[in-house]
Amino acid sequence: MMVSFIIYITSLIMIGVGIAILLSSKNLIKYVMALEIMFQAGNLLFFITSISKTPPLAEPRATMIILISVEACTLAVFLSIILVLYLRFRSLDVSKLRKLRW
Amino acid sequence: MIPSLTYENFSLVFIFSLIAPSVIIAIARVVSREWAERYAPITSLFFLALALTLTIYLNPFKLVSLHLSTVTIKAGYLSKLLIDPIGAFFTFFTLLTTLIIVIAMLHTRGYYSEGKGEIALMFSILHLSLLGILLVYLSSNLLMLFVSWELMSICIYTLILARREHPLMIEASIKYLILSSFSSAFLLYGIALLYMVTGTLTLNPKAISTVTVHTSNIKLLILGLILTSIAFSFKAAIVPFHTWAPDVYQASLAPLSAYFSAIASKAGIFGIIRIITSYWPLISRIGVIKNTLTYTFTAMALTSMFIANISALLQENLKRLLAYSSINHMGFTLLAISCLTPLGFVAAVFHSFNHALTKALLFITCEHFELIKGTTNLKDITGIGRRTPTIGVPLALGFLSILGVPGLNCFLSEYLIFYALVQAKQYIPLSLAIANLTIALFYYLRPLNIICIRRQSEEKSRLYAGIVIALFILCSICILIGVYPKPIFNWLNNIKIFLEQILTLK
Repeated sequence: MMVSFIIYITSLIMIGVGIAILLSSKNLIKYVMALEIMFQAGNLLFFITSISKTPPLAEPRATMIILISVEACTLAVFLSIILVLYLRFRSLDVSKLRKLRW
Repeated sequence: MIPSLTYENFSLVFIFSLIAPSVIIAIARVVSREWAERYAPITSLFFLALALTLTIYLNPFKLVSLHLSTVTIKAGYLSKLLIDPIGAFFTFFTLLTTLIIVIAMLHTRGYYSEGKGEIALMFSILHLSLLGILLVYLSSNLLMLFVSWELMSICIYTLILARREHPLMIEASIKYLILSSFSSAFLLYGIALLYMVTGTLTLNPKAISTVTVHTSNIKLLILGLILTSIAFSFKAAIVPFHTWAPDVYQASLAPLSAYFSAIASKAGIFGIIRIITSYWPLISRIGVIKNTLTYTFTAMALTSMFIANISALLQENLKRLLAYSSINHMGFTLLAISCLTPLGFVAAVFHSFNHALTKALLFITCEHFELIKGTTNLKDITGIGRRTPTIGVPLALGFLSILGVPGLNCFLSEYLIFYALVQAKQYIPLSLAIANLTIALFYYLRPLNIICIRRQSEEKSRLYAGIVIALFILCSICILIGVYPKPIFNWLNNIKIFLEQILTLK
């Protein structure tokens, strides 16, 4: 019970950190890191569900493995589009993208 | 007569018809770029027609009779796909609209990208994203929903970047990428919370009605529902999560904007409907959740209608104006959902359908302007509708339809939404929605005046066969539904019967 509570608090902190980086940073690579942290916060919750019973459940762990691979795909596409941006503009700063405005 | 096909075989054939075009086109591109570029649209069209024919087997009437009998919802679970009347309806109109959009893309090679063979890749990715969207409609558990959601999102990031060197497209893609990927992180967290509380990933309301929730977990349940709804409303572009929509719809190519606005944003609306109907046994058991959801959705819907309408008044670009109109209508749909009654959900489903058809129509006319002039700024396309009535008449029809003129399709669904609001006794949102329709009058009639009524001395512009055919089909469907809505109302009535069954589960 104590362990799962600590993990739960950790996952909440991780979500908070992710949102804080999203709001404060302008660097795209930091966004990638924040995204990864937020995805892992979700995975931790699955882990809590897995250890809530004895013996530990297998279904949440299988789910976690599928989710990790899906997240890897998302991050790969994210990084490749960042690369396209970098090759065109030579910058990773989001605040310089200001053409599409009214 | 329809030849018989078991549901297991059906889902195999259906998913094959969705995966096959993307694989075939990708392989063809490796073999011969010339060949792939020439035949990609035809291949795509063929498989879309096949899939659309197969939706006959989704058979809404039979499904409802199955639900009505003692077998109930379990019969809707067919080889890992949850096929219910709402999902069947969304699948049907998604395939129909995509088919028409692909027809509009037939005769316009070279417009989509500079490189040779790029159009083949684009069609391949388009079909993958379509697969993702349709699997969202047919997914039976939250894990499958998340995976198909990510498939859809990833493909859309790359679709926006149709021309790799184009600075506006890169910017739109990055903006969408950041917001959308963070929304998927929220979705994952929400799913994890729901799983922690209920101990199951299923989306079957019958199975969820057997779950008991400890009183200390109610807050987590609310948080999970709100987080998943937020993630879905990101995709549906509802205020305050709408900031990507005008940029993306303006920057990407017009037929792809049609695809995003008419089809991809409906996945968000569907997600909200699905998560509420599936978790309805828990929501109805605990009154707090019901009120929280109603208030949240009403507030989001009304703010998105007001902000979108007021921003749309100031736009000079037709595609950006249509994007704000799209946000407005998504808010309108969410307002129907916020009633949390069967009629409200049916109105939302019907409005999604009508909005998909009409927005596809308007964005396809934008494609014509882009091909002729290379831009959709209102001052550059003045008077084109008057010179070429083949484009001008459908454009006017689309604007009138989306305005809610009686006799065209959107009027019926807007009427249904108002009726649902009256039935749910939500008079203040109702009056604010009617006020919004009045504001909408101004920004719909202004481009109509500029494009279709103002004179500009200019020779007749050339026409593209694909665009004309697509516009003709869409116009005839819009008028047909407006004049003779009986078949579609029969179908909606079945959805209503199904929803009434679900919403009585305790």
